[in-house]
Amino acid sequence: MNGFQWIAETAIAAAVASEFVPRRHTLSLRVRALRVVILAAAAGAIARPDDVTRVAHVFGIGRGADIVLYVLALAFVALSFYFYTQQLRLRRDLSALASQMALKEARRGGTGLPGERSAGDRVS
Amino acid sequence: MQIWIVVAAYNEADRLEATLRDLLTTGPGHVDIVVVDDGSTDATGSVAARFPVWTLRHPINCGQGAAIRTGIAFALDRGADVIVTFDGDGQHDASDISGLVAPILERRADVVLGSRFLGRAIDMPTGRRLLLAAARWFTRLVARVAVTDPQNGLRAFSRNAAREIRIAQDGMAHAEEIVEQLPARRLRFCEAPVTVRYTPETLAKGQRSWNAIRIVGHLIAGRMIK
Repeated sequence: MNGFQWIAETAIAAAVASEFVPRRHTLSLRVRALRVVILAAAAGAIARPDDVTRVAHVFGIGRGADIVLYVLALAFVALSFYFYTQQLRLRRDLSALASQMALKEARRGGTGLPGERSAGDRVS
Repeated sequence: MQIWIVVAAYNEADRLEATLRDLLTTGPGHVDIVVVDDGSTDATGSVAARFPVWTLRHPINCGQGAAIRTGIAFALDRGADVIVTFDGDGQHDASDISGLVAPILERRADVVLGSRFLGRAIDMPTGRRLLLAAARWFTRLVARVAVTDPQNGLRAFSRNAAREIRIAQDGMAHAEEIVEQLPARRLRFCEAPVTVRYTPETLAKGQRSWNAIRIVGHLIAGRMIK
């Protein structure tokens, strides 16, 4: 293995090991297992690039580098969508919070059209 | 019968005064009005506060759907029997409200959707007309509901319908979302002719054509997240 491979494999091994450290995880077991599988695949691809080429040939792709590129492109699309839905979820939570604040701070204006109104009052 | 009008307003300081005067002077007699200032950066909130209406303020801009949801929640909490949504930019005509709430008061419908195509669309540009036609076909295709103007912001809900319909979309996609739920929730609905008046100001602030694509994207993503 060359220097890059050693560094990459060490980093990946550390990432995999951290998944098994007992602590309070925020992600589900299924997601964490998927992450370990992806990391293991990455470690295998870095350690044995010829195997990647063999897998590429199975799919009718000439070079191992090409199949890695295709997988990365698909992963980018999937991740983009994931972050988009996360952002939507966050926005909904923010809106719910904003709504609660608005409902608590409701104010009533005067009793007539401007010029003939009296002082307003406030909810709660 | 308590009729509540929900006015969602974002940066409408220049137009809100005329809208509220119209509602208070030519609207259907005694109504309660709630203005939801959706995090405006101009004087929208202080303009609303000068009128005998309730004012709610979102601390940040959340979108028209979110503002309507807040306004409806407030009206329901205060015992509304009929809730009307009305745009804050002066596009709508307050004299249409009586015709809009009549089918609900007569218990002929749970939801009444205003339609500019059954009524009048004054100075509507051709581009907008085509965009709304596309929205109409999208609604027929996806929601399987045949209405002439699904994007119209002037609508009326019975108390029961307002409680049943879930507005999850914060932005403009809420209009499509509301129409989609009508058959699923077994709500009786009809359309009423209304007038929508276009001015350079409302057109400048209104929906761009490419927003239609965003609305479709929001609808799809909204179905995928809980």
